[in-house]
Amino acid sequence: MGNKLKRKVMWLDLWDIEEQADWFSHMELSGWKLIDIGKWIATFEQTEPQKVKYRCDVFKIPYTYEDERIEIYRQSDWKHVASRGYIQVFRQLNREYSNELHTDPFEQAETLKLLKKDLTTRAVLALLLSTIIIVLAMLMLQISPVRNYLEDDFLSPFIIIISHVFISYTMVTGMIHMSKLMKQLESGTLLKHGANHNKKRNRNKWLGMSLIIFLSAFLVFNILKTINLSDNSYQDIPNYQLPVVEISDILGETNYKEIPDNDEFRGSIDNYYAENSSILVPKQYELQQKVEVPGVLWEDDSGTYQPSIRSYGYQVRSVWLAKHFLQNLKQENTYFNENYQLVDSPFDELWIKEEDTMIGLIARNNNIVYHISYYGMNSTKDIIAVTEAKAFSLN
Amino acid sequence: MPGSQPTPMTEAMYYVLLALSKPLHGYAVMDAVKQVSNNRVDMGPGTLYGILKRLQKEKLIVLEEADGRRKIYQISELGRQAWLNEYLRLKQMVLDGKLLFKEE
Repeated sequence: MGNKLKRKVMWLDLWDIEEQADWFSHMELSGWKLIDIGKWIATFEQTEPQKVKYRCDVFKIPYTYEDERIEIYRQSDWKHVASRGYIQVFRQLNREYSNELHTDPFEQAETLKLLKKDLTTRAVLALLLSTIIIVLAMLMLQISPVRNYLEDDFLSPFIIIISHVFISYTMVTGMIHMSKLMKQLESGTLLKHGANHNKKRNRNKWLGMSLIIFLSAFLVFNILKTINLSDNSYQDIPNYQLPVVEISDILGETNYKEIPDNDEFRGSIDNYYAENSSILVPKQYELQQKVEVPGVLWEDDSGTYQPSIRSYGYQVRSVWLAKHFLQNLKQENTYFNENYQLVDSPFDELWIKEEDTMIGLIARNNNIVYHISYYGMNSTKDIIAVTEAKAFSLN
Repeated sequence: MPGSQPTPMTEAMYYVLLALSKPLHGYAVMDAVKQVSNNRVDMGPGTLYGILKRLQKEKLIVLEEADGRRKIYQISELGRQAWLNEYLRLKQMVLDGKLLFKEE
């Protein structure tokens, strides 16, 4: 046999004392002898498959002080193999005869107190920190609810919350497990050797891998989104009919022209069309249009009439989400006392806000939401009519 | 008062104190315990070490000699008194138990 090495992720927590010992024994039975443990990785060396006992004990290991302990263990045919924090792993030297490390449950309970104390301190700190972080993440979700829908801004806080719930769950599980072990020992029953490691390893592996895949997918998603955003600059308005209300729908046969954009950048900030997508709102249409009507002046004679529109159409994932999205749209577009008013219409909901030459409209039909801000001399009735015509012709 | 145990000793503690009536190093204590208990108490090294440290902390045993890894322990006066208290307690329990046999 050579010195072939194999490294494996532990997938067992510190407090899984008997399961760790069982796994090491199982590995040696499969021809892999434990030689070292890192925080998460165990290193094995290829050997003849043999049935060997492993045991995990709990103590600190500053060698100068604990040499005597290791020596007593060694004289009793237990060799110290590796350390993992307070967990010390011992391997049976004499397979014919060797006593157990612990033969008195009350004395073993004393040793476990060290791990329980350490775990409790860490769990309390982790729970405290997780609570603060979860509260902050919840506040992050409130910063711009509309962006949560349109730009997936809910994802980062959501991932933070999931991760910290996972950490808290793990710590609480550990504390419960330790309490059970302590209770068993204090009732006079020794720990059960040969506890099946498979169930816990598989469960932890599944949970851990899911979290890693989840976080990796989130990272890739964000990278792709950043690349996609950088490509999505102001695109010219296409000639075909758009799924949102356009200035042509409002002005009809009126003669008008687009206001040219004279800066050096591609596209125009006043005249563009964009289509986007997010998890909660898979279809998003955005139109910004500003035109000039030659020979017509604003009502106050302040200059040539230049009507403009910001027009959005959203296909939300579900009706329930669409209702909440509409509420958030209303809140984010309400300034001072200019509240949206509910208006009777064929829409499921139609909300209107009027101010001088500006008309704000938010309408929902099933899971489709329209949002329009129009600046011009047309009446609110006109804007509602063209929105209805557009919405129901598309439906 | 550390010498008189407020709670009953564990079986393991009782036998370790008994074994340390003469100076012994750690591993030898295990053999001695086995001997004085007529092979009934087979103590594991983890159990032994925990007891040694606790008895030392409570001054029931003292370190006679420390030669590197090998440390030799012996029961202290306080330990002897604690062991005696426990012995008398157990003896009294056995005597009390005779009542049951008399009734039968």
